[in-house]
Amino acid sequence: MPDRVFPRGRGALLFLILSADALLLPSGLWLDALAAGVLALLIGTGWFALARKYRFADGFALLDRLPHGAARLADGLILVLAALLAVRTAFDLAGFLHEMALPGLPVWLAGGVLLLCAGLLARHGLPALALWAVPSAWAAGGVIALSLLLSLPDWSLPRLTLSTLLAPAGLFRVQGTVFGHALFVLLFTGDDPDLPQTRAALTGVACAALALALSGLRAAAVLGTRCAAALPYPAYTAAGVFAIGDFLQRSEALFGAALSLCFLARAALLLAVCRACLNRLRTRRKQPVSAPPAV
Amino acid sequence: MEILQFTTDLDENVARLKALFAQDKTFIVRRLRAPEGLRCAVFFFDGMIDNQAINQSIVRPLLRAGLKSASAEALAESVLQINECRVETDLHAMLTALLYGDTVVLTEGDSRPIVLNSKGFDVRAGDEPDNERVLRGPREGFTESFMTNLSMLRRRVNDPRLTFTFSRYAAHTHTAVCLCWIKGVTDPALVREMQKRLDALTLDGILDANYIAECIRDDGGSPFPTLGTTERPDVAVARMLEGRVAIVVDGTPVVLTAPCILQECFQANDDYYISVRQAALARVLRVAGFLLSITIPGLYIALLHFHQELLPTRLLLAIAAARTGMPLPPFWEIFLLLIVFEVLKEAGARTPGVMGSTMSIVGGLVLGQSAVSARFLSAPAVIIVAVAAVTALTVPKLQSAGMVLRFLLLAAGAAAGLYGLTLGLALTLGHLCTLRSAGTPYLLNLAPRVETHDEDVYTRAPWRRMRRRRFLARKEGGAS
Amino acid sequence: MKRLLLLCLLPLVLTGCAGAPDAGDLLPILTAGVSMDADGGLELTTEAVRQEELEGTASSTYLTARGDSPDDLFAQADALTANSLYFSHARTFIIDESLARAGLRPLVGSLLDRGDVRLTLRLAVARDAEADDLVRAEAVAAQLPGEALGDLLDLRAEQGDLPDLPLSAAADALLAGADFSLPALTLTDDGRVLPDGQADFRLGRLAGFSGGDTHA
Repeated sequence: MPDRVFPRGRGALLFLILSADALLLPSGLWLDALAAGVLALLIGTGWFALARKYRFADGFALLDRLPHGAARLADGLILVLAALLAVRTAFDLAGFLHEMALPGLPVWLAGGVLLLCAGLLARHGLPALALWAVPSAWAAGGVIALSLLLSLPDWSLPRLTLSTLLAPAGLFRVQGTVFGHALFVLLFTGDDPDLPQTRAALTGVACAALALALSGLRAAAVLGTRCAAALPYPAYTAAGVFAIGDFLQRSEALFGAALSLCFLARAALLLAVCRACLNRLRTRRKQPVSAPPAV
Repeated sequence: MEILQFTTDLDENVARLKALFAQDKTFIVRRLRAPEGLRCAVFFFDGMIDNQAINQSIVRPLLRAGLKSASAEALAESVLQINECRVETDLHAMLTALLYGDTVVLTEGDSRPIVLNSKGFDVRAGDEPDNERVLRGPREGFTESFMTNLSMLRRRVNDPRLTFTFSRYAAHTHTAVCLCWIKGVTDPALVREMQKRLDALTLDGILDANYIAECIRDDGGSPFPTLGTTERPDVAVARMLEGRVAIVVDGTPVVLTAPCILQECFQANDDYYISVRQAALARVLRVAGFLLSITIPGLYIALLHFHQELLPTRLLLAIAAARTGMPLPPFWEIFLLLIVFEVLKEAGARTPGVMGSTMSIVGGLVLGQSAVSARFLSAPAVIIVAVAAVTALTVPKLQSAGMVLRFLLLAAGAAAGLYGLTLGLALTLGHLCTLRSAGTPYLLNLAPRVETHDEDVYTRAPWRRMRRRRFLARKEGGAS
Repeated sequence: MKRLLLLCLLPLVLTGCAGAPDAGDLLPILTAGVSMDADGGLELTTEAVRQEELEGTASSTYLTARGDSPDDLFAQADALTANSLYFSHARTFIIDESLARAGLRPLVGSLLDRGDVRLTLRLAVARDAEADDLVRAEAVAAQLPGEALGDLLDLRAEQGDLPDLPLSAAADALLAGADFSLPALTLTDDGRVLPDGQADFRLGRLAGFSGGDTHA
């Protein structure tokens, strides 16, 4: 496995972990998703600027500048939060699978297996995960883009209503629940003079915001705003509307499979964060207080 | 082995060697007494030497030397008329050479043996290997002869920087192994690493390159090959020119190359000898064929059990009709057929050539046709497995990986449909991302893509634009 | 790692595949029609397609079920055969006039609750005919009747002759309380199904028919 995270890998990882919510986001929040994406880009740009100015390699290096006790507490809190979010991610997907695709599969089993698979991906650290993310992002992004493109003839703008306009509550909800996951990637991101990361990372966030927004918009445009709001997974259902002759139709499962890859990436990233925090806590216990622990 | 010691007494030395090979009737001792008084003894193994060379270059000159006595050096430098001749003080090396087809000469008054190159055992002609055929291009292949193989490499790289490092391994077979690389092209760290791995071998017998391969390869549990193999000298040289090392093993035509990266599994020898467009299409077909071969059984089960909506109505009806009355569920049908396919493949490999076509007809036509007619297996299942089998043959280097993945993805598709299949492929990709071969990432040039090194990754660039470069020696930090 | 993978796969294979229906266990439905009698009871007629042999051709069979409510109706229909009724390939759902006048919300709600009903399912209203008769009508060409009817409605919707309102759009309009129109179908004297204008809905109930060649 590589020793460093390539910029494209980081961008791909950001795209995957943020696009996962295309499955869960209510269709009415598509504009909020776009706005939240713009906000996330601003925050990301600010982060990289701070990293360049104060010369920290990643978020963990920033935590190392805290007093020893505070740094340990921060590591512990991040570990717990990441673990909880990883479990939630896995069981969100398991719930979707049980409800929409695989009713015979118990939720606890699917969630457990997903966590196990995410753990297998995460066990070699972020560099390997970022390497894995590049072709996965192309595959998932390609399927999402193709699905959006092929469903264009079925869009009906009159089916959109005024209720899909931007609302502050929706914006903060999206910002917190969706783009908040990007903060975990920032733990591994900072200033790297040899491998400039800014452009790739921001591209990943921008593409994810577009994917989220367009998926939500498509659901509203194809199914109608109220019908989409009444469905549990409108973006997924809307993906099955288009048909290419008699060959490719009723294909929402392909869209769902692409998004399941995104969920897997998110759970794997969160488990990688857990692993990193655990290593840091173990190292802190062994090393003198003054020496910064390795990630 | 007991430590053999020679003295200056020729009779005693002859007795000691005879005692060492007492039961071996192929061990020949030829005593010589020249008219002038020179006494020598010539030792060799019948069947391994060139008789004419011994008679004309060793026996005759010794008898006509006109010497009363002579030291080993004098004989080696002035009397013996053979191209390779040395006085050997290491008795272990002398015995190894004697056992490998060289001749040993001892003379009265000198305890040091002379070793002469007189190898004359039969070797197979260097025909084109069966499993690496090309439509157009060189037809030469490695043989079991160590020196012949090395000479094939030397002929193709007329460069003094081509370096051979010889060693012998295995307590019983003392197999000669040569590490080949090109100075200035191969990373010295790679050479050191491979030498270190070879020196760590603890086998007591080496009969084929695979004995060594399994001991020195990275991640022995992975079904993906992390050491390259070839039986073609042009391929071995091409790989060395890209910065790899080649390991030539005595007694086998298979040469190992390291490192091995995933992209080379999809490259065929033909790609470089046929037109660019043809090569590009062939490579795309290979990739598509491999992906199809590992996913189609799982995809069939996934669609049949979980995603029937994806199937066109008529196709769904036809498959349902074909499956009416079948005793086995679709998963076990496919599983059984895949097993049968592997059995047929194994049987085909073990069958003598004349019976091979008969077996193909029996296996393919009779079994398949009869099983469907008897409603034991459904026609769609037979078709699916046939497609998987045929497409698997497009990438022979990934046969093992394909077989494992086919079964795993079948189970994944049966367990969770398209989602299981996606998970299986994601985990496979994750495994590939963590693989290394001699320190080189297995997905080098594929992930992340390196624009400056992709002239031979997805398709081959025309030769006028493709410079062979040491892309294996690039720094990882050079990728963006 | 291999052991872990096997550990993942084994329970999944045992639970996931074990209960999943085979393609042969499903009874694909191409067209369905529901009508309401004077007592408010509902009758569902479905055109199920089967192909007995690989070398044979597909043929339609008709199943009828009765129920007191749409949910009960579908439950009774599912209990008719050992095979599960599979609405994923259904093209058209015909509603008779009496049920349409009573209101579509319960029926549309039941359809949305069924996991296998596609949101692209075309709803249509029977005009001067029984839904059951329309479902059972023969196709003109050598085609499955449900296929022929679905193709006809798709074509006329594309041409703009008929309202293009799949189930999702109808549901959306119902939830919004908006007026909408569905294609109206009638049976000709020689037993063919023909589009005949449109059925206009107000607040989810049929208000009347408009247009149509036979009623010009």
